[in-house]
Amino acid sequence: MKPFRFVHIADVHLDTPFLCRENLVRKRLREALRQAFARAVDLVLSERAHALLIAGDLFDNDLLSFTTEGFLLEQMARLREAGVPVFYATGNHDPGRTNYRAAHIPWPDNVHLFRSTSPETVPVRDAEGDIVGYVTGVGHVTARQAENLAQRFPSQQEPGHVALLHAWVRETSADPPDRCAPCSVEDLRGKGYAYWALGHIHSRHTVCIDPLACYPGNLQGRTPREIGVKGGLLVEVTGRSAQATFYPLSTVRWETAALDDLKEVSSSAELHRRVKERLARVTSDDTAEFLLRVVLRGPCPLHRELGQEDNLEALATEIEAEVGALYVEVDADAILRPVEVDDHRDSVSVLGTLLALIDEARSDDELARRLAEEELAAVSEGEVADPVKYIRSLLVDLEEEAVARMVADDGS
Amino acid sequence: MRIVGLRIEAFGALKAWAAEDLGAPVVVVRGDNESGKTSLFRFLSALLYGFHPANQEDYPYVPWDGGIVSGEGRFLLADGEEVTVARRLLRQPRGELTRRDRTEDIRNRPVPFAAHVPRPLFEDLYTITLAGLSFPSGRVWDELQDRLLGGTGVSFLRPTRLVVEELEREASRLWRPDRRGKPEDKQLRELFSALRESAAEAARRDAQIRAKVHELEEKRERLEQLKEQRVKGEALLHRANVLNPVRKRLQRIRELEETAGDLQPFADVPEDPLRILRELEDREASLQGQLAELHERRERWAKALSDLGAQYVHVLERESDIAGWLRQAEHLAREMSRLETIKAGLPAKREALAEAAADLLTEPWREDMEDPLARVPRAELRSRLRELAELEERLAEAEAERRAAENRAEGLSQLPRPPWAEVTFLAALTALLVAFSLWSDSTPYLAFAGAVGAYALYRVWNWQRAKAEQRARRQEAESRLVEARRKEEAVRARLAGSRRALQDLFGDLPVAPSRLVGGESLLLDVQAIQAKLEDLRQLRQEEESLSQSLAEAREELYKLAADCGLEVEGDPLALITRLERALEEAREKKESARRAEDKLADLEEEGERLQRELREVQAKASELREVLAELGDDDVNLGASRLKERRMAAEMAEKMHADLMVEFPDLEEIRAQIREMEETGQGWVFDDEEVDRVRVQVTEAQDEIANLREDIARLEKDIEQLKDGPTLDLLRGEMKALEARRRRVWSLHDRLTVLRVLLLEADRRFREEHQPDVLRRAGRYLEVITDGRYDRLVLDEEEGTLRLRRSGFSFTVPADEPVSRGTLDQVYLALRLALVGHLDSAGERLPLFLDEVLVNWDASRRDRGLKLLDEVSRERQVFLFTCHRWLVEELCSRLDAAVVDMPEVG
Repeated sequence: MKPFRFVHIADVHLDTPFLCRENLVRKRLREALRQAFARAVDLVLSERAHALLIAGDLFDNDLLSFTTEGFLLEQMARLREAGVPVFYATGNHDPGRTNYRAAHIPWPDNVHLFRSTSPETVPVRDAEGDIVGYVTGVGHVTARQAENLAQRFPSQQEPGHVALLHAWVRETSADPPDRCAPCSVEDLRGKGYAYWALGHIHSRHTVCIDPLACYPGNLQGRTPREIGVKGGLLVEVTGRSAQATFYPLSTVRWETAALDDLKEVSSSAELHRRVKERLARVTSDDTAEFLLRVVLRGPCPLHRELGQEDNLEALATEIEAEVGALYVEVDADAILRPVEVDDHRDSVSVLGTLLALIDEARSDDELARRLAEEELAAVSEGEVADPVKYIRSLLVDLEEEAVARMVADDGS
Repeated sequence: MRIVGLRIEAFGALKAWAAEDLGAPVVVVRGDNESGKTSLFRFLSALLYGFHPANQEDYPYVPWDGGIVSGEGRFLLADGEEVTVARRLLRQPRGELTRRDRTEDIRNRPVPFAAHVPRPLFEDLYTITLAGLSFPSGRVWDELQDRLLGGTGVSFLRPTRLVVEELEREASRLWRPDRRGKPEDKQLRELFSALRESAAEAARRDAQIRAKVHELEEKRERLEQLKEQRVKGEALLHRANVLNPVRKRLQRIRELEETAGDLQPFADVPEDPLRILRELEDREASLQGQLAELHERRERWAKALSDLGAQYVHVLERESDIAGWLRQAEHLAREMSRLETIKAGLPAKREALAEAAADLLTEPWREDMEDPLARVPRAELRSRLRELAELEERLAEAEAERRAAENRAEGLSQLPRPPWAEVTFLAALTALLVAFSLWSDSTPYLAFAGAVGAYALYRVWNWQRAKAEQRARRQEAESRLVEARRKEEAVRARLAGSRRALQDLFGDLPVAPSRLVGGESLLLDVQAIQAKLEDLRQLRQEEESLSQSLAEAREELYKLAADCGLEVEGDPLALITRLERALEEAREKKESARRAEDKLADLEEEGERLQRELREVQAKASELREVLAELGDDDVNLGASRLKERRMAAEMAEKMHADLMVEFPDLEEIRAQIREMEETGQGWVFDDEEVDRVRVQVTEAQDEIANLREDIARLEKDIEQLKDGPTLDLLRGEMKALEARRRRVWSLHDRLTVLRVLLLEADRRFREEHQPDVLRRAGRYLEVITDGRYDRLVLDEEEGTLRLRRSGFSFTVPADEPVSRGTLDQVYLALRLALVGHLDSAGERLPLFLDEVLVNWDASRRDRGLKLLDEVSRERQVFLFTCHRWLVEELCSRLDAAVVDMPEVG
């Protein structure tokens, strides 16, 4: 059997809402996402791949606009013209039941849609009509597909089989729970698939070596947390083994520069220098456009200046010009006035008592619960599932805040 | 704990300063202002707590001269143990704690026995200044009560109440549970609601786009159906209205083309062949007449050519030579004129030369004198003449010298005359005087006679001397004269030799002897004669040269004239003129001959052309006759008639075809359609009723198509407009950003709220734990300091203010006005001391530092203050700073005090 070459992408999330304040930047990101998808198609064509595999979340169901749908169909038509089939398994953001969008898009005949939880195996042929491999896939029927779909995949005896699945693969017992078709690495083993084309996790990584199971990550970072270059995997399956190579496809990436040692920074010039020094590490490895989030944390003598929105915007503008970023956002919420907490700890004063009390609240559930009974915004707005845990999250660095507020500005 | 000794190497203004035996309960530190009392307190603080800030750059007590902050202190702890603390601020702060010969590295950490009181509290509470004891008034007192009773008593902490209010205020600006006001969250929520509506609108817009696109697709489908229906109808109409008429006309064209047949072989036959044939025959006759006339003209021109004679030929052969002479004629005339001028000028030149030579020579000028005179070398002549002039001058000098010698010798020939008369007179006078003296016996006369006699003797001696000198000079003059004469002769001999040499330069020329004298005259004359002679010779040479060249020219010219057949005689210039005329005539003859030749050539060419045309005309006529005879069965006229008929048919067919092409540009396509229809057997018979029905259908389809196109354009425009609006994903992105901002606001609010609640709880706990002890201690101190007037301090829980209880009474009064100012100061001091006592009650009692506290108190208050200090010093060491010696003495007399002198200022 000839080697089976295909491009594996997932979590494209076309028309996803981008978390950014600036409308222009959101528009640019939407455009960048389309460019990335078009580049994925380019990759298939330039590498003469036999197929394109999409492991779910191709778009955000109810957000898919008619225009984007048209763009999507254009790209599929490009592959159709080249005789390349597309295997697309639905995910939790684009489920396959008939009341969702995926079932109603007029897909061209080269697109094979896996939108049922029953596995289906489709042979893949090359230009000469010879079978080069098989794709077996299942799709999410609803947005809350909580069952283990990996277990449904049939065992394969023939070589060249590839599994296509949108699921959360729990790699260690320490992983947080997720209700999106959860399964374990063990569920992927022993079924005779040379490669598991997975989707759902937005950061690229390999779940399992034998058989090879990979998340390619999404095509374009959606939030400041999804940093770095994104792209797809070019996979070559030979018999029962597979090899995956990453190809960057995103044209815009998110980067974060966090600075948390600002105790000695007492001038804006020094702050600039620190930011630039940190950015040099962030920006020196890639030439693509990038969006930058500068996070300033901890005690800083410039806490007053950094507490003013105008100054932060000016700083963001300057950084934007200096590093050539598409957009810069400066987050200085966690900047504190430089104070010596230890000087006041255990002192015979209200402040000493307060510091002890804050420490106590971290371990005393009863005290935390009493605090949660107060008029807390997040609790009242129904955003908090576990008030005690929420209260504990509020206690982070609260000692510094307490000292900063209690100690007069000219005090030590 | 007591401080028993201090040693400072360097700390602020203090350098190499030490104080021992400080272990007394009270230590009075005496020193002027700026003597370092504050530095001393900070040094003690540094010993106990380390350096803050802990680097040399920022630490304020680094000596100005850059020395290292360093020092140590010895402390006696409550358990009787003595420890030593040494601190040193290098790049990193260092600290050592020594107890019982064991040294511990404490770096910059507080010493263990002071750790129960934080540094800020120590530095703020354990030093009391005079100004700090002044009872505050009004609102400040309210805040201080908060601090002293509800908080810590330290000045660097803000009152709890203020911080709580601030937290509440800030939290309310972010979020409020009661939905009142305009907190940030409310604004964000409103923005979010607006965005949600926009998002719903965007969703509706997208649905509209989809609906309109669906409608658009339906209309396009209907449009395609109508187009197809219209095409079919139009095809039928096309067949009936276009194809059938075209088919008929094409059929007629084919018939005409058959009649015309193949006209290609007669393509060269003219339209009217009979007329053309007649014209050819006429032309043939005309050409033959022209040829005859041409022959006659050729004969005439041949005769003209033969008229050119042999003489003209010779002239033309020598044309370039004649032209050369014509160019030289002017030059030749100038040379002839010049020769005449020279010949006329020669006699005058000779005469001038003879005249010039007459001044020099003794004989008249002859031509044989020319060469000798010309050969006289002027340079040598100049040299000889100069030599001669020099000798003549020297001869004159020698003659003058000789005459001078003669005159001198002649002048010295007579000797000086003897002074006999004078001597005689003098002798007589002497004798007379002697006689008179002898007669008169007068000594003076005798002396005078002696003098006269002596003078007479002197005169005789002088004459003899002059005569001898005269003789010597005469002998010398005579010898000089001989020498001068010899010299003169020698010069004369050389002068004669020089004149001879000068004469030799002129050879045999009879030069006048009078001219053979020195000077420039002879040389100038010789130069003038030689110049004239040269001029004369040049003229002669030019005359000879011109005569020769003119003779040669004349000879050559005569030969040319002879060659050209002219008579050789007369002036050469006239001969040249005759040659010019002959050349012009020859040229004219030659031009005539050339024209005759050209004309003959033209006539020859014309004859050939006429011959050629004649042959062509004859050939055409013959060919035309043959074609027409063939078409007309040997009848030329019949042939021409038949050809005309066939050509008319072809022309008509072509015209019909051209009309069709203009009328139907797509004629080929129509033909193909006709062929297709004929091949498929479709008939060409059309029912008018059916045609009308189809025409109506086509018109209706066209109308509907137009309407559909309008609808489609409108739909497309609508869709484009709908697409222009913000899309759902962008709006949702903005909503997400807003949600994130709201969550941030909530988090900030909740954090402030939690901090506020915890602070209130901390305040409550602190008060419960510490307030009673502080008030108890303050009451006791107040009783001492007021000498029992007030014995208790209590807190009004409702008002949150302090009140005083008078001894022996059950009621209390507010610790505020109208209680006297002095009492309030005492209340304040009692509270400060109580706080200190409360703070370190759990550990070592840290020393208290009072700066000039008692200095302004009157005697009775100071007395009570000293009692209070005595009590305080029983439990802790008290340092009293003052610059007043009287106070030092009073303190020492009243308290168990040690005295330390600070270094003197300056």
